[in-house]
Amino acid sequence: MNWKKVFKSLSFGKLEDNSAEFKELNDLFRKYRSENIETDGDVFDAVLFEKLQKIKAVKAVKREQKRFVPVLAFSIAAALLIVFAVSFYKIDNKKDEMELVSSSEVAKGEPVKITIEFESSENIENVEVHFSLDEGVRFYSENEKIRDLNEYIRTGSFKKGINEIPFVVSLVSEGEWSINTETKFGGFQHNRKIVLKTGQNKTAVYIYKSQKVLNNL
Amino acid sequence: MNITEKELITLASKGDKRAFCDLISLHRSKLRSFAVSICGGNIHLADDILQEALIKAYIAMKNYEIRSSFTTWLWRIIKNEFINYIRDPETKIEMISDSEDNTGVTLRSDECSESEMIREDVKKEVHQLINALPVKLKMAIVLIDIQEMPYEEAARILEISLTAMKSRVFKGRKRMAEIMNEKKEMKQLSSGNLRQNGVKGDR
Repeated sequence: MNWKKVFKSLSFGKLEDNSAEFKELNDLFRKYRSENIETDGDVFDAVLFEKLQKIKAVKAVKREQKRFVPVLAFSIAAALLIVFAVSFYKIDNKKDEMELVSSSEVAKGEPVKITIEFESSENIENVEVHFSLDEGVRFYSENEKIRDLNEYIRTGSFKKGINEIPFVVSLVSEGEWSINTETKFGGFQHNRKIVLKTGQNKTAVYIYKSQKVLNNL
Repeated sequence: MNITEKELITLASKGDKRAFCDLISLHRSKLRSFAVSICGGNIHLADDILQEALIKAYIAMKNYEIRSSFTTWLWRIIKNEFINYIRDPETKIEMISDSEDNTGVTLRSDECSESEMIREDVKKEVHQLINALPVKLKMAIVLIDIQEMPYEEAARILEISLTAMKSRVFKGRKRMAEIMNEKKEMKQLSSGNLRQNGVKGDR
């Protein structure tokens, strides 16, 4: 390589055209810039907005805690009761709060393969996964009976470790539709919520999860 | 009547999340392009890190002073988040393969036309060149050669002097030119070997 030529051709501020190496690099960047068109900006906005809403909810909880401090100082006895009440309330809220675990997008109109995962600390027989589907979403199947289902219970065993449950759905109408699953094992109720939202050319897929302690008392 | 950027900034700094999203949508295209270039073309990973950075920006909005440039302020936050990611990717988000992400939602590979394949090759080549650069040079090249940002603005975002900025771009381009030439030489060598082998096989 002729380094003298390369160094001569380099200048601060732009790629010089008089060097073959840099002309090629320049052309490559020009092509890249012209092809680099943004897609699915609406999906990006929707996901960001959802994430921001969660931040606001956290902030609101923090503000409630600040307000709670003077009440605590006002009466020790009353405060103890409130502490217990608020603690239980918060623990329950946390259990019910769904956490966005992932988001993705697929071509609009295409069937969507979804895999939900459950981690088990032991081998368990006869685990039931209850599926409930909104009216706008259905299982993707050649069997009409399966396509018509809006509730479904899948029974099987879980092995120790990660257990994957794949299924395929398709949207029957535009809009925002959910699939909720409920599974009870290991002393917890594990919930998953899959939200499918149609955009202009894509369907956004969000997966939320939560778990709460099963009360056996 | 369209709401101005300044009005959106004022609303967003008071915690209005819709105003913040509208404000970001004004910069979104460039920010996403930057993110994708830094993440070697992995759109999902780029979007995840960018959104994480934007959430930090939203939280920091209450401390933003309208006197300074919002664009520079925002880009600095984004830049810092990506530098953190590049330096320590394991603590952030797992790399996602091209075909499947952690939702388990399989992405279909549609049939590509020839022109699409060429476009993909261009993207792949640029991402490979950028990926081969050290963090500092990578940031400089993406801001100047991909984003076509003025040197002064890029220097403010990276919080370095104009001279240092120019130096980084110079080094980055030099390194990329070297890589391109190395690749060419390798191609020539391998095609030469193939020809030789071909002759051998004919005998």
